[in-house]
Amino acid sequence: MLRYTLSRMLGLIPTLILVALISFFLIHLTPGDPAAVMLGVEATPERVANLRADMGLDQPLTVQFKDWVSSALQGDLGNSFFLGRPVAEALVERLPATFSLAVAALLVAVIIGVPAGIIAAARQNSVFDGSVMVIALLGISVPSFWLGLLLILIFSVGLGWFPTGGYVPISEGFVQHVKYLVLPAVSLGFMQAALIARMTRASMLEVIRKDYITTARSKGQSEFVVVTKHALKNIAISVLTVVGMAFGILLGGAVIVETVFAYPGVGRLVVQAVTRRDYPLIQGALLMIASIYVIVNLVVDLLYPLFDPRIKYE
Amino acid sequence: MKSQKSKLGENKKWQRLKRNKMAIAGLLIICAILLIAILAPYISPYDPLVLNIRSRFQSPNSEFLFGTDNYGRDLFSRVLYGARVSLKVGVIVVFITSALGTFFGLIAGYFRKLDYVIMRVMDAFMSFPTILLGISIVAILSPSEMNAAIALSVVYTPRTTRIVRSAVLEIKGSEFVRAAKSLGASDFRIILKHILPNCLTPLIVQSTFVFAYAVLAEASLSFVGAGPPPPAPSWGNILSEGRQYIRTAPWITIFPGIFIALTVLGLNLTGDGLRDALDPKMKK
Amino acid sequence: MRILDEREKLLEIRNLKTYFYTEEGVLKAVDGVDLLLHSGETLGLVGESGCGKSVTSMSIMRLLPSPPGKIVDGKILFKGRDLAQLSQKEMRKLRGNDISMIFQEPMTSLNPVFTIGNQISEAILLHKDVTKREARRQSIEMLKKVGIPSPEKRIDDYPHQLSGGMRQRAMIALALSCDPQLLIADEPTTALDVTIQAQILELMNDLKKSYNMSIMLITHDLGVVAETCDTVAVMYAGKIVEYTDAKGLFGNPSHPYTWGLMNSIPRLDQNIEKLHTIAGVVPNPLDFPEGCKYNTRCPIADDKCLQQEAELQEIRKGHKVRCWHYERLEQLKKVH
Repeated sequence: MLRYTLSRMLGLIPTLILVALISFFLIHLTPGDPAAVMLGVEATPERVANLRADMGLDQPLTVQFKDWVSSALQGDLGNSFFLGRPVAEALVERLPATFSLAVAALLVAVIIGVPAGIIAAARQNSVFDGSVMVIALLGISVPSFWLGLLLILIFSVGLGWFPTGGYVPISEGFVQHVKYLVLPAVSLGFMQAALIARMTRASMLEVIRKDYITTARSKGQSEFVVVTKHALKNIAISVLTVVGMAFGILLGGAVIVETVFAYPGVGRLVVQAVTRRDYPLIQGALLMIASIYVIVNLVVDLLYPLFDPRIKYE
Repeated sequence: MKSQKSKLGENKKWQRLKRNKMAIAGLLIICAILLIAILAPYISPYDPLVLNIRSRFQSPNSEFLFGTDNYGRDLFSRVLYGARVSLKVGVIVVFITSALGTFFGLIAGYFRKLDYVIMRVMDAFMSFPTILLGISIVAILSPSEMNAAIALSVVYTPRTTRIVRSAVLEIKGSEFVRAAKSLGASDFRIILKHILPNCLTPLIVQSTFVFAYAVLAEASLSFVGAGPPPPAPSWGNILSEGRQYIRTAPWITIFPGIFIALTVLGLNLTGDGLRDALDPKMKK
Repeated sequence: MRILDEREKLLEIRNLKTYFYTEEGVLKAVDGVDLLLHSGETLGLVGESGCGKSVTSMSIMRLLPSPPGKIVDGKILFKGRDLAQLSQKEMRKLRGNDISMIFQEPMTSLNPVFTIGNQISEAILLHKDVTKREARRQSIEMLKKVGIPSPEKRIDDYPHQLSGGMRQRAMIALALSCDPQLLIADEPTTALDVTIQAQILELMNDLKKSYNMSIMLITHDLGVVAETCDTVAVMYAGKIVEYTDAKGLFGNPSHPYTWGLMNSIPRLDQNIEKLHTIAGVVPNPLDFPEGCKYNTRCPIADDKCLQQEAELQEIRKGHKVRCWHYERLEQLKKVH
């Protein structure tokens, strides 16, 4: 188990190095001098030169990259130009809110998507199945921010059940925290719920035709147990994989939904950084979120053997 | 007995028709949106950019079909023009991702030595959430229609590469490729004559979905100000402006959203239909 | 014959019709089948794939995929109760308990993500009022009975850790764990090596005796029938074409199809130069020929066979055949 975990972690190193490379070199794609772009057209040459020196842009690229990575490994992602504070600090401060949102959205996606997919497959071609498929098709076609705006229109403006936006940390009361979380989580999670429902249904339909399902039925087992025990554990890995990928997508999707709900998470910080051309912040956010994504998928990988004895820790 | 049989025969036809109907409905939606985009200058009742302070915030009426916005611009005209941005970006993204994805996919699938490097790079790109990567690239290149398209092409190329690569791997082991090799055909010839044609089906299906993702993503980028800058109308930036007036003028938010959803729905329906018709193996 | 009649009728199928309503049309998978199985006997159901033998067994279990499959007519009397009329809830009490089933592919018929012990105990816990520990003890006992070495260890194995033969033994242990009166075995040895085949058949024979159960053995392999069955029904295109005891069948096959099947078995005791195969292919069930359904392949078919299908008639005591010209077959046999 330990060896397996270690070897899997080692396997991530090339990916993580590439992720760092991409995050770093992206800002050098900018036409012209990053420092000049950041400061805008009115900046004096001295200020540009100062910023270049400050960000280390006057060094050769390889030196810059080495410095950046070695600082990043020590938790230093440089300074945000506009916030006037370390990037890492700003990101870590905003991370809990985004994490809350992504987890809540994932819960929405899994709680709706998995059962809907299972029931739809168990009653293939029924009215329920048809409705799930149609709703799921709409779900993957409706942009999350528009759904968010519609939810605000109906549930905040119309019915007054939920606030139109904002955030209350969990430390200031769970109920309030959830109240502010519901609409953003639903608008963010709905598309993933639709995807998970479609995928769960497809895997379920495949598994339910297997001989061992007939064996379970021939024992006299009820259809409910056949589906929830015998079939479900066999699709667990596919569901788990999709859920792991969904988490990354949700972290990224939070960028948009946070804007809709004026939700103070990493996403909003990134959007502000984009309009202000705050490159160190963009770099840092890219590196952090991609690393989280890679690690979440490693965890998913490590969970596989729990659900399928044929996959061994080797 | 006889009547039962013919009834079931009809049933089968009906089933097939229904299955096709979804795809046909999808195609019809796409054609309609395409027509709107092309004909926007001729069918728009107003200039989408002309301000008219006296007619601000008019709710939908016979004069302004979708109402007006905070500058008094006709929303209907703006939505029609917005179709041009969405489809243009979508088409460019499809074009670039198909070209790059096919190129990298063919190389990775065919030449084992390059496979590892190419696929690790693709994996690394796929570790970034799509929207976040897209926004960052646009931020660096500066917001514009073309840069949004470039950013989204970077985002979606790895997925297309993967699909082409697996198609190549499947076909590479087949008898006729080995036969061609043993007859001394060059790698270039084998790829072009034997392998590429067999990758087209999954590529076409994938491209339809890429189109759908791109339309959604372009709207998202525009929504957060990383698309074509105002005042030029795109569905995303109309929504973004309308957001502030959602209490008083919800129509500004509602109509462009309907058009985004319809376009993406049409593309998804077409994609599902194409996949079922062309390549039933590709279910997942 | 009188002795036979006095034995208890365990399963009696009358005029069973199971159809599949598919997009291409109505598929008459089983079209008027009568079968009789006494306690303690083995009935062989023989035919090529697609002849309706597996559908017959799934009809008895009431495990047809529905839709499209449906029992449209007939009775399935199990100890006098008509299974075709039972609710799924009532059927669940019988399945695994009074009637069990084993399948062709031991690789795929056990759930890969649960241990053998879990899967056997599940059946025991469903039908017997015992604790989990007792169910586990009984599971180990069953594994021992089917000849799995060191069952205390094997019980915690997953299916992929066992060989094909061992897996089929585990499957038999699972099927017999609740002491069923009827075991339906659908091609139980087809997927196994020849030596393992013999072992599994012997095991089934032994267990049949010690449990006094009846077996319905579904197979395409006449060799297996010869070793195990008391009575045999040969099916072709959804109907029974020959029905008699094993001795009668092998001693005097009276339907051209049965005779064709027998000629296509390689035999070690006869030094024949070429193996006969039946000409042609099984007709498409959606498009059966008019008249006798075997007429497309039959060496002795004539105009009558093209127009009308024969009834299943008793040609001698306990020997039924669905053929106009069973007598003519005798002349053909002499030629060969």
